[in-house]
Amino acid sequence: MHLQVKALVKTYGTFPALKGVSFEIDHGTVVGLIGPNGAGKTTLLKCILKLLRYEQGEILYDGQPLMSRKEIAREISYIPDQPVYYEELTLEENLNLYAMLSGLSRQEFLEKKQMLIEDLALAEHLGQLPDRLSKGNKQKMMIAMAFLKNFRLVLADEPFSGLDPVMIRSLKDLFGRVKKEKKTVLISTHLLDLAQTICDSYIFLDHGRILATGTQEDVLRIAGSSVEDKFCLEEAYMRLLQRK
Amino acid sequence: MEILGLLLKNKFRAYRRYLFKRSPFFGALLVFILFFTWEILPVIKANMEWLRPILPKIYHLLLVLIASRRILFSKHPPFCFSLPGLYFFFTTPVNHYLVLTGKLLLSYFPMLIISFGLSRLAAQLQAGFLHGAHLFFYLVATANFSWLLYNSNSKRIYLWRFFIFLAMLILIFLDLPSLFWLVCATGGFLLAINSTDKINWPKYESHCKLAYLTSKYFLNGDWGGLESLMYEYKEPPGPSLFFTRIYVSGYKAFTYGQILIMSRYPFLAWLIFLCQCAVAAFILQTKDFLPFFGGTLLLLSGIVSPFSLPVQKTIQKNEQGFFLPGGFIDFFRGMALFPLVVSFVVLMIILSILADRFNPIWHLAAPILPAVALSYLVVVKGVFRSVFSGWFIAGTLIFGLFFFFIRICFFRGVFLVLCLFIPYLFVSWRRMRIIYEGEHGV
Repeated sequence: MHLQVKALVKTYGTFPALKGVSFEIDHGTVVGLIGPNGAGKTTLLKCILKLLRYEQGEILYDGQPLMSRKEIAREISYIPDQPVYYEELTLEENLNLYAMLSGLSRQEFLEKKQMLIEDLALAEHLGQLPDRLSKGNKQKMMIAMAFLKNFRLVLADEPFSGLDPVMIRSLKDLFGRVKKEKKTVLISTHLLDLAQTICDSYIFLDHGRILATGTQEDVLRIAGSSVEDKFCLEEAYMRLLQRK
Repeated sequence: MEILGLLLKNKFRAYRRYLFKRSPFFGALLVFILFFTWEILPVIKANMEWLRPILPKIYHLLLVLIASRRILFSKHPPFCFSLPGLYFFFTTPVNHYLVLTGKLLLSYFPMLIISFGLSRLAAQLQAGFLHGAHLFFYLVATANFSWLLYNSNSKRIYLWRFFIFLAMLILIFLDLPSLFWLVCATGGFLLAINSTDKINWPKYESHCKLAYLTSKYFLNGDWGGLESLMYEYKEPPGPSLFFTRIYVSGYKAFTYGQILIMSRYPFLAWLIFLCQCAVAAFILQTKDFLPFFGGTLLLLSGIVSPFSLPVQKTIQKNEQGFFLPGGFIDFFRGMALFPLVVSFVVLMIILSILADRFNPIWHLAAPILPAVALSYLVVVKGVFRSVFSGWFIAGTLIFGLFFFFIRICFFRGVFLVLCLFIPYLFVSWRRMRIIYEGEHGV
């Protein structure tokens, strides 16, 4: 999916969270959304998902505006910053119900479920109530739910938080697989080293404004580093924040 | 001293904040207690003649209940640390022995107040039952035994519990002097403070967290937090072969989710549902409008409360990013189907009870429209998420009128209310659809 965000403005009361944010994401790419706490990353993701109303701007999905949540739900998968699940249902029942509500066929669901349970090492927690799971396992459940669905774009808000190194590797592989299937990924993260290993391009956001967008070369150029420098996302990030 | 000062300052500030925030609640509670005491004391005094022989028995029963609660069925410790207190206790080089002793002694304070209060009451009633120091030492002894049993890792813990409870039971009825209970309390205290190395810390920490967060969420009025805490400490349900074998899609997936969530309700919720329906059926026998309307409200709340919760949760999850691709029509059909069936059955039973004579066609036909209206109101309540929502209140009033006219067989009235229901249906449907599918970005 090709995503275009044009001059997006979002305010909370009088506080401006997004001040005319514009960028484009090509289909089949993995893009890192990077910025300090309070930069507006989650707000931006929620606006793309129409979970939040915005005052100005336009969001186009393959050149078309998607108007309802139903249309968005068919095309986009989302890993939220806070886990969302039915508290009364076990992890397995949550996965089953989510697949049913998402309209997956039984065969497709069983195949995907098996794969995700193995990849995310969830087998021993299937009968547990989510509130009894650790933070990392709740996060894994949210990842499994997001990847169960058929989607063309996945938005992930801090997907690596609470995960151990083995699970981070598994999630990286999952994103890699998604990329091979020519699906688009937008990941909001603070883990710059990790972003550098999986992202094709970056969006640097601070105080609701975009500081830089583009590939490694573009970001280096904007940050003022020489092209000969070894690309280091952390260095570019620091320079961009200092320059601001 | 400085440490103690800081701890007291923290406590004082917390209580001040809660008192200020919850002052209407505490005020209402105080008024209720005073009113209750004011009303009940003269009644008890007036009936002292026949109450006098019963009161000591009630008192003994209370003692037995306390012993069974603390010794036989106790799962929780008799005293808890606050979460920050526990963190400081573990991570600072304080004298653990001394802190536990202090904590144990402080935990006796509420028992002192209880025994003092009951002694005053006993003096007022001149009932002559055991009170004062006797009661205090008894409470302390049970608390100490409870603490020792809580930390015991004996494989025969259930036997221990049973035998100690049995011993207490016999001792209570032997009516021993307070000196005996003083020895028990002191012995238990010495054993408790000398067994710090036997404390099951992970279990204790988990219970302290539960106690601390429960009171914190309650005082903050954070019902969501309380609910989340309940599920965190709830035992996982056993594997359900029935539900894992079913796989449905479309609107049926919503019905499946609704039934699955409702199957996890505690038994008490279903008991309340049945009681509400039974009491409503009893009240609805009248043909006077106001009592009938009260009965209708009771019936409505009995059906709407349990069925609307899954609707409410789904709406909430969707807004938090659950993203269900099914449309509003699927959602509505799925969520209204099960309440429709249950409402139909309940209304059919109630209308059969209310009917003057048996008419199978009437018994089958009469509940159809009210059941449809009830299931619609289930979804309305779930989507708008409040009983005080104008949409729900309006729907309730219309339903009340409608059901009353059916009861008195005033069909012109039924038709009139139906005419009123159509614009309500149209406007509320539109609003619910916007809430479910989300408002457009700009």
